[in-house]
Amino acid sequence: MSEIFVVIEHRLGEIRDITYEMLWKAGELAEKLSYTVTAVLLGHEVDSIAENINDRADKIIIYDDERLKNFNADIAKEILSGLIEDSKPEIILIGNTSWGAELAPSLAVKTGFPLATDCIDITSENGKIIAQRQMYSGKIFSNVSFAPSDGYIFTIRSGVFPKDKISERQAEKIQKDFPVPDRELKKSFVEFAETAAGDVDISQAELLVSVGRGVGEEENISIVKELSEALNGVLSCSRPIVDKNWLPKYLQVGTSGKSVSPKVYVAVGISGAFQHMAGITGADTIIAINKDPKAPIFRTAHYGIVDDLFKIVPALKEKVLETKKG
Amino acid sequence: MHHKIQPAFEHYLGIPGFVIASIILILGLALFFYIIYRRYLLLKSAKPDPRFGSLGQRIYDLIIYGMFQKRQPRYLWIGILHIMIFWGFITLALRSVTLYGLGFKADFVLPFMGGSLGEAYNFLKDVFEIIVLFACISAILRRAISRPARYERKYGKTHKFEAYLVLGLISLLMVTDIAMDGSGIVLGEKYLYWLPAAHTVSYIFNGLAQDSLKSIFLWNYWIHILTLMVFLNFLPLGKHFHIITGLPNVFFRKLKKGSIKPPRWDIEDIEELDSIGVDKIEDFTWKHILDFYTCTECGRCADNCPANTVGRPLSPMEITLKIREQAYESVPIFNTKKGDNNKENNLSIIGNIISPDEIWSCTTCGACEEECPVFIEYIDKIIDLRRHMVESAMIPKDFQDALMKFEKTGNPFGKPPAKRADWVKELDDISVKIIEEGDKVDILYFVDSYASFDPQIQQIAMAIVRGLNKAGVNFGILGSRESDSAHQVKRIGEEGLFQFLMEENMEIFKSCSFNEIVTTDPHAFNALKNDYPGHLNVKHYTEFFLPLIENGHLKASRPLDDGQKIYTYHDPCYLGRHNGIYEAPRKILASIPGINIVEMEKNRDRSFCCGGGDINLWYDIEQEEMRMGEKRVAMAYEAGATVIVTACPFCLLNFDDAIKTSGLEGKIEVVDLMELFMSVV
Amino acid sequence: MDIVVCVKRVPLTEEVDIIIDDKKKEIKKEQLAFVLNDWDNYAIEEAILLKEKHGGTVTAITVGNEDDEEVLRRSLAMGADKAIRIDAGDLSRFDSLSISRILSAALKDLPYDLVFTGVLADDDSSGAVGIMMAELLDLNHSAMVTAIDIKDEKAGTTSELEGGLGEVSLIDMPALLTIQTGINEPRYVSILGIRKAAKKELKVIGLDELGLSEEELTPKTIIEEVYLPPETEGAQILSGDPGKIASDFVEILTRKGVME
Repeated sequence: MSEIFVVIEHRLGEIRDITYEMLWKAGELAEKLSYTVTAVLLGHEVDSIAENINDRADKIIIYDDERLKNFNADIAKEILSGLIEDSKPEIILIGNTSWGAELAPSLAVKTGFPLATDCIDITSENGKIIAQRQMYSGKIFSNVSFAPSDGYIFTIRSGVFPKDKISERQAEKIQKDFPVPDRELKKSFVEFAETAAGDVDISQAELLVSVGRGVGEEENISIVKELSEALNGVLSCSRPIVDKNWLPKYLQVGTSGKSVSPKVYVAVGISGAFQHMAGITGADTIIAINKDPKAPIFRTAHYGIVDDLFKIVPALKEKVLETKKG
Repeated sequence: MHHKIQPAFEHYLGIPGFVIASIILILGLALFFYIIYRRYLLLKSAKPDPRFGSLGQRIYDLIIYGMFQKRQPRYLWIGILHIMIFWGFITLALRSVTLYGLGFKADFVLPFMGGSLGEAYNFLKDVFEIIVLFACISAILRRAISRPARYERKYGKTHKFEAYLVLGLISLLMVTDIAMDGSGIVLGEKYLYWLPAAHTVSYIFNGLAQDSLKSIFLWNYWIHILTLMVFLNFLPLGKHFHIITGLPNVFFRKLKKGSIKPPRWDIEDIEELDSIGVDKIEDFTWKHILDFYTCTECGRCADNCPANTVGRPLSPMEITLKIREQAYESVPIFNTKKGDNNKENNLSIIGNIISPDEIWSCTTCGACEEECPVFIEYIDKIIDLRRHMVESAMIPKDFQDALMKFEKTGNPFGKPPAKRADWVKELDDISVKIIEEGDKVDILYFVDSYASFDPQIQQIAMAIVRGLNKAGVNFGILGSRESDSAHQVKRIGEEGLFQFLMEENMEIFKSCSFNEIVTTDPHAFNALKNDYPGHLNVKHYTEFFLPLIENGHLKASRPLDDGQKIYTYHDPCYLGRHNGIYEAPRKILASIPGINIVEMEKNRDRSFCCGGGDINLWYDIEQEEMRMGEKRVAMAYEAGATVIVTACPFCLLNFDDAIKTSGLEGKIEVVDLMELFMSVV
Repeated sequence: MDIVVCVKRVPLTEEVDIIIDDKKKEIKKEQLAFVLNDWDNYAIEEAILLKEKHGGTVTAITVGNEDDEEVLRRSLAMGADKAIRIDAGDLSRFDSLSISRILSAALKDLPYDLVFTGVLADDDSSGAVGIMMAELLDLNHSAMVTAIDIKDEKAGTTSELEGGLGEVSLIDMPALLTIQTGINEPRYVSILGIRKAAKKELKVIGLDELGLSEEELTPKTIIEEVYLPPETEGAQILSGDPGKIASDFVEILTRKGVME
């Protein structure tokens, strides 16, 4: 019976959400293919972390290595390839995160396994595994198959699968410590750096009005800002706005910015790229304003306004002010 | 005429007058020519500029704008004062020469000035001396009391002292000559006509002793001679250099309005150049250097500059003066600096003398060039500075995106060219011909990017198509094969990209045949007419439709159902100032029966730029108090208008925004001329 | 300091309606405009900035056909010293791994201190080539780099993590870095600048010169099908005139309890 490896992503003692999402998917696949789920925990003195997923995997392999006091993709790759050789899992799931994206490709080369990145689904039909992913900034979906191999590696997009337990499991903990080639740390960790805190913490806001690339030029941000002010909300933005230095980084929503969980999230001129959407999975209600009816954001938003933001946002602001006055 | 006293042959401390006169003349002229030579050095090292063509036109302009000072009365009273001083100078020039002559020869007169001509001249000269003296004193008082704001400087020091000094020197010249003549009369000199100044002064001198009179005569003579020579040498040192360079500067004026100079006049293929644009002072052409020399610091350009008015960093006068100061420093008259004095000449202008924002502030509206009485050019210089900034990547990021989209899709929006003619589908009653290769039409309607893609401007294109259709014109559009006219691209300074787009369009034009091109917008009109090669036969829609309207092919027949709105027409920069089209749009507007029209105070060549169609759409310059569009809308509102009529898509968009941001919604609206006209056809 | 930057030419899809090709394995590209991949633009700029600071050379390299030379010329115009195009024929038969092998083979004999790739390319969005190359060439690597500081023969890198966090590391050279957007402000290159760059060296290498076996070039991932996103339920679209939309908008907010 084959195994599904799920590489646990953890940082500063906390298991990251992507791990739970992968464990859910692994559980689903395991049920379908009659495989078992093996969580792989690499690190240094991180045993206690494993407690959190006791009931979500059949096995937890723990590999302690001093060199992994801080995440190091190179050492992790060496250890994982050894574990893979040992256990021969058919499917290996890694998070499509900054760390995961640095680990998976080198692991694929070392093991010789095919790699599909940023997957939003994995299916198996008649023994053939298909990964579903996106291309062209989410405008296109693609189904990818693989050359026959003993194992397949997938990096999984954050926020696609639920974090719930798909079934109850009881994990058997295994400590592995076969020696890994004496490999020096070629990259040394220095420190974590926080982005400047800024005047406002968007992750605490109840109502966010977010501005995206559709705003065109820097001066037009004021149109969106006025709406947010009229609503007593907080202005936030997507990545391109920060890349252009129009707004500071602490207002950025998305994977490389902040995750937010407001009651209402108004997305103005934002197309809905997944990195951005990943930051608003916690939002209660998403209202999207975009002149392109095919913008990906309309798939996820609860309400949509298909109109030119320069026309409709001032109208919305007027109505809000009018209502608040009366 | 016979003078009682001969300055040439009096003796001063034993030295005869003519010796002193020689010394003054030789030293003075030597110094003067040396100074001129130093000023000439910079002209010599500057780039070539062909300014000798169209001699007939140039001579004509010299007479109208130079001799008759046509631009001076645009600021009425000071303009008149200046004309007085100018004509005084011209008239008194003969007198100056004659006076010098008296330093060498007894009773010196110029040829032909012996008889009645000389007597008439003496009268004229005397009258002008009063006029000039009056003008100088008025100017001094005006400067001191009303302190016109446009004489102030935004950066750098003013030269007010110099202004007073020169006015004072001129006054002194007048006074000394009058005093000389006055004392001469008492001494017995005879004139045919009564000289108002000299004779009046002579009454004051009447009764003075011979010795005193002689003293007065000689003192005033020599003070006059000396002052004249000092004055001459002082001119090239400051803002009064224009007294010498002004008329040449007018003669060498830029004749082809609306066009932009090529990167180099002498090298056609820009790829052969190591660099394009102006980085250092010597990269300017000699005419531009002459411009720097000629600025009188009158401030009329800055006073009319819309960027300056709304508080942007740009002031045209400052550009000239800052560069002039640098130029004077780099090639000083007296080389008092040790070592390589060319070091200052190697200073890059951008960043050291002028800031990038000053250069990006300009909307190329041409108000400055329209005002300058000595025809200093600004637009070409600013574009040359921009060219350098573009090649050195000193370009705001927003422009990069826009330019990339121009390059890849032929429009600034990045929209696919295949969709360029989609708007014609909305005209379900009219089928618009898309010109294919080899096709033949009468009129090629050049739509351009904004009319093709911006929903608001598409309405204008549709109105034009309806007008063409109704008037039975055989026309077509290029559809997806059309590229942007690249007017904006050229004026950002991306010459390579402009040429690329221009060549694409020229290829397309060659592949079909047409008699005339009609454009939606004045920018495309200006580009095709003045930037593109080949003397294309192109008109803006206003000029094209006017004859059709006047001949009745297109008639505004329905009543204007507007509740008594009051309309005012705004002159777009590229239709008005740059191409002289003021009346055609007005006639079209006036042809609408029952329409109420008012004119804004600043109209025609004094029109105030809406904010620009060029870079100003993509880059927001900070430090503005009120945007240009808002300022202009306020002007329309003050004039009593409730509708602004525009003939340019950018004016329309800018005013539309401005009405909203200045809270005048409901009080004033903006409409395109063609849309308005077609609504009552 | 010698830096090699891997660049890619991708279609500009921002304002475009994408059409699926008849074979359903790719999109129709004939009507599309092509640009330098955004991440690679930042990578080239970063390499040039490092060269301006520390001296050395920058080489731009791409796998592609003659049209793809455009991005090499742009890189040269930005300040790269030389460019290499690997002519590998029809690229649709390769995947990220094959491309990584091709590039790695080309780099094998080149001297370099750093290799840059963009984090990902805008067309396939795989984001694998960079790190795969690092493994094939046995290079130290850092991913998602948003800042580079060269000090005493080592590269200090800041990698972008989630949630606004950055990870600062020190890495020995030679190393491979995948470059994230926003690391710098890429300079503009004018048309004239690009034309002038035509004088700089652009070498073309044939795939067969690299000595890769058929097996090494065989892709391990195969695109079965591409398709437009399914028409899901998605958002409830508010319609009507602006006045009605605004009223509906306010109503939704009121129901959610955020209107005061």
